Amino acid sequence: MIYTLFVNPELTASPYGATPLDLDDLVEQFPPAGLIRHNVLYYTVQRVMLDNGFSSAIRLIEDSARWQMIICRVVGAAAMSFTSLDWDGITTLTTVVPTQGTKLFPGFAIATPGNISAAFPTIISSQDDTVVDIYTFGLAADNDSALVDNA
Amino acid sequence: MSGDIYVGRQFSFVLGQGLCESIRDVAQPLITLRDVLPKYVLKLDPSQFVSGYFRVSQAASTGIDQPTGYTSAKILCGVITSNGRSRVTIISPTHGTKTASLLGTKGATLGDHRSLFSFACDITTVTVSVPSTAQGGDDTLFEYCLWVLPDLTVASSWRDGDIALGYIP
Repeated sequence: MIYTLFVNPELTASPYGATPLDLDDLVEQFPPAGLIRHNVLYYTVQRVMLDNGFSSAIRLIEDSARWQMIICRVVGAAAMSFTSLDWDGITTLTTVVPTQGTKLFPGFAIATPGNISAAFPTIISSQDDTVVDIYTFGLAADNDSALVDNA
Repeated sequence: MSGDIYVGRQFSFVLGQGLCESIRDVAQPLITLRDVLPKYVLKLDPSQFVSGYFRVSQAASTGIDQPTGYTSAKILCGVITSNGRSRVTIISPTHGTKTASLLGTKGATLGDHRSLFSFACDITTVTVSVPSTAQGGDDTLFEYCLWVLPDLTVASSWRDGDIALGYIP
């Protein structure tokens, strides 16, 4: 089965705070081109609650070397961590993506790595009672044969 | 720009079954995330918010300008996209120097699928780079947005003040 993911960070900024935001008032909209669209081969969903200093593995259910998008929605404070190969295929990159937020304005740690070299990325909490919703997506370009094989 | 600037974030995503060209083609969403309510809009000084776009050639790098007066004593939120093979490096007093590879695609063969990178932490510098042509690097478009995270527990940080925080004055 193939899936399609539409992601919309939709960060907007306006100098007209006294009235509700509308398109005519926006001075910035991010991303300017609108929705980000991806072909998805598989996905996982997890939710964990972690105290300060505790961590949890992020499951990737297929080859970790595949193109991934990992989205962590954080109420509290936490950092996504993993290692991946650089574009030379040799150098190891150590990636940490920290974020923090509250129920009113959650934080998002998002990465789109091309080749995760560790078996499991992890999410590490730096605040008690941090709740993390984790979504992972295995992505494919339009010419990826997996789009046919998995269909 | 004078006065305050108001930053809203309605992060959302929809996962649909099948290959869909448009979100309107999603007949039955498998996962839908709609995030914060529209009333939760931050109120910032205009100097605390920067956004823009630029292109980086293969085997080159560039730093992203930070909001005026920002120091690593505060939390900086950032969202960065790219449409090719690239990297983003953040240097943080708390986390040190960390680099992430970003994979995005463009063109008719691969399709237009941009990478997405989002973070919030104390920052010294944010740099993006593109690998050499031999490693698949190309003329790559980056779009970015950085803003200083205010104290979310005080009414003055929100457009709707006490109402956003749930207090009726």
